Amino acid sequence: MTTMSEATYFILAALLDGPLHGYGIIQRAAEQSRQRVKIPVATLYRAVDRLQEAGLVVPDREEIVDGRARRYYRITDQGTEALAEEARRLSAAADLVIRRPGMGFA
Amino acid sequence: MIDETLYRRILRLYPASYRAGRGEEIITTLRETGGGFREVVALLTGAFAAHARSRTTPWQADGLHLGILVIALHRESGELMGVDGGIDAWLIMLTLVLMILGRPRLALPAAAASMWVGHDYFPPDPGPWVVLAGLLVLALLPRRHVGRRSWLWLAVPAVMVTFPVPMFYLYADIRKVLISVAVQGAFLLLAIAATAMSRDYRWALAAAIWMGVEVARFHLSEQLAWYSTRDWLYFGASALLVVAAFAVAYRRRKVV
Repeated sequence: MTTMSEATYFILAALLDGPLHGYGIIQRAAEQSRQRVKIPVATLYRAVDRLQEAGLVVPDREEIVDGRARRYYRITDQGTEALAEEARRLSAAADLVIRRPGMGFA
Repeated sequence: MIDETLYRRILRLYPASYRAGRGEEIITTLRETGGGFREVVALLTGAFAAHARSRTTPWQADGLHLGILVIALHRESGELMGVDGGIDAWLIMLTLVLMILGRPRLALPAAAASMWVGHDYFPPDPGPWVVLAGLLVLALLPRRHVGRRSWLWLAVPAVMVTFPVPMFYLYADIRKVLISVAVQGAFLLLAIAATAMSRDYRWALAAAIWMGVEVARFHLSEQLAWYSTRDWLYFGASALLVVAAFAVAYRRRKVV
């Protein structure tokens, strides 16, 4: 069984609303994780390499900004499926605690 | 903000193919984030990871290749330190060069010749036989299964000659033994770090081959009916590190 790291989870989640470039992914992941996941650039591209190899993410398009190329990445159907699976797993794990009386969630 | 020149210098540590594909993209994103010390550390770690992940050969063949290369490097170091290192030292060097070039079919006769002309070891050293057997296996594999390795490996004999250390002989100076343990410990830790990056068993396999030969060499050289606490500690710690490398590979393979 394959598991997903927290950074990978937020990278894939960042792409749910559409393709993003590297900096866009870093910003969105930080935002959506309430600044908990701050991915360094080299780490992001290592993760993107792995996700591309696994077929969860693909390059979308390139655009030139200030003379520099920016590459956008898109989540694949397989990536969306893997993310949903991980979300279900996390949700079930969270439910174990949240649904328990006396935990202060009622 | 850290100068872009520094990032470009660090990027030179990456494999050329990786740099060509990702280099400018990484620099652009670094400019956008504003950079910083954390980015420098990640970029340096990334260079190590990129090299560890750049191997495209099957991990079994690559692990065997790496394991016997380390043993051959160790033997060459011993020859260079010995006063009688002659033509066999040159033959081992030739074997090393051919192994680094990923040419086991050519390295095999060179390794056999080095054993033929070399002096007899007392106590007997299993290392050369393991290298020979490993080369034979690699020679039988399709050419594409054995890749090139970095020339930086040739720095190992230079380091070993700089720190000439008898391995485990009972009367060895404790400081020398500690340096020896540190060198081997560093190799095993490197194997764990590389395993974490490559996410497969190649470095773990190499570490296991290396440790197997070390244990056999120690056993043959000391001829002891019992091991001292120090020996047990050393081999116990080394075995733990090898097991840790396999465990890291097993866990990391399953994480996306």
